[in-house]
Amino acid sequence: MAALLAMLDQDFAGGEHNRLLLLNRAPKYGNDDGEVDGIARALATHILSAFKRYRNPRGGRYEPGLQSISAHALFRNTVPATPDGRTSSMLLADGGISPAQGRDRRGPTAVIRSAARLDHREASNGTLLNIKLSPQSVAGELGLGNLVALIQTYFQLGGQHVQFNVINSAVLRDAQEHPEQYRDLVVRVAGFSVLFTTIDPVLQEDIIERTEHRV
Amino acid sequence: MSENIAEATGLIFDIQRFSVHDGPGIRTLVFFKGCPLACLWCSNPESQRFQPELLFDATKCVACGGCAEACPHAAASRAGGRSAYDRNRCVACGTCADACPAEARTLAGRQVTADDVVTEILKDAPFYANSGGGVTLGGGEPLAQTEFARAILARCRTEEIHTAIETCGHVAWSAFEAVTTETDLFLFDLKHLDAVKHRAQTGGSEALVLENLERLAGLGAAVVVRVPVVPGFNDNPEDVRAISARVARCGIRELHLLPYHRLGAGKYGLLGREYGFAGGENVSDTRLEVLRMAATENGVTVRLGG
Repeated sequence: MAALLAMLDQDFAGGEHNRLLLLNRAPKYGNDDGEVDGIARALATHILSAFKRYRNPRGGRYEPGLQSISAHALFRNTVPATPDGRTSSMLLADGGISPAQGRDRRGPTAVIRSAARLDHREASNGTLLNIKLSPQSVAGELGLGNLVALIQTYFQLGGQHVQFNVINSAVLRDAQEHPEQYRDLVVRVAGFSVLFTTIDPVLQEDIIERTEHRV
Repeated sequence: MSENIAEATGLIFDIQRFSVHDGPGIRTLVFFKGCPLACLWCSNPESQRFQPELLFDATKCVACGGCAEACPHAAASRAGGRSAYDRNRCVACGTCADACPAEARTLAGRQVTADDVVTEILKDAPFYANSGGGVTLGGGEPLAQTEFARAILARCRTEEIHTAIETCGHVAWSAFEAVTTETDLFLFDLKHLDAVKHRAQTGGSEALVLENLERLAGLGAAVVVRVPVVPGFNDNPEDVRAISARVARCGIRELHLLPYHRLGAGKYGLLGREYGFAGGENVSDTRLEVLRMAATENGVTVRLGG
């Protein structure tokens, strides 16, 4: 623990090897891992239940929610390095209960199963989940059906809210600049298994162009 | 046979959830490792060989030397601040992949039990129910590990999960026989009717594929034929028309045209291989439309993409 804290104090300077181990080897929320998700659930419960002890100046209750809106962008500069392998200059996770950027590697169904492990009833002011999808995966009537199924299943499992970004070319361009934040952005094609970030820039251009034309 | 189900094991290289182009609805796609064919345009080169293989991505390497320390066969080394990899010494044990902090090394291919696979498949059961989805076995060639495939399918049936198989069709008929009762849908690849062209670019016999296709259709199995549309190989109206005519003759009513893509080309380098396909351009939308029209002439419903 002392060694870990020292690394965080130094913003992982000189500790890139360990930072990568923490980032890539330590399991992350958003991947349908019961053990990790259990920690998220316990943490959320701990924070949300704390508000029950307090009253506002008018004697009313606080209604806590798990949604950062855009505060996560603002707080980036004030939150130092974190033990998940994030340096102080890296973004904090968006939304309230979305996995941190790039940490979800098993697709939207796994994200939903992770998010559903939190107890949403304790967040009376709501929970917010952002999910990114490639246009090909929800294209057409059949794709729409799949999107509906994602939403239905999430609500059946206890989720309260979900919003989708269906990737446009601007986001794909950002993914070219910051691949580490988009490692779960998979272009799904029939029968094809893709390793994350193996697509070279020329092919990325190709995908971006195809997205503009076909969707 | 049922007492073997729990013990059946096989080699896979991925289990991909939220697969939406490999059968109806939201599906989990199990990628079997090993294929009897070796199509030049293959976008899953890590699927072809029947043993584990190591993929090394030098662009992700941070030259920490972790692999060099870990490797029991002196196949990984660090010299001059760079990581080096001697494939001749490598036995694909995966020790280096476990040691690598930067995900520069991945082992493709792990031996698992049918139960392991089904446990993973069951996680998305509510999504299958809401979308009319299920499980698809693909790869590689699922029918090259028939007992393992059958064990997975049988358990999925017990759990009332819709089952599908993607197959190249280039296997013994007995492999089909072993799985037909447990398979709801076959996604059956058909690449070319010409023996010489087929052999040259896939390494296999079109006759075997066609024979299996006819027999399968003759059993009344639900079959959708999938044609990878490959530039310079079959991307012309004559070939596509002939294929769809043959499909119609078997009594099959649905055909998918899968346009060639190069998204998998990068993986060859990671395996220390060359991407052998020279034909290289994507199939244009206009051409694809011409081919779609040619295919529909035989009363077959044609879908573009998976």
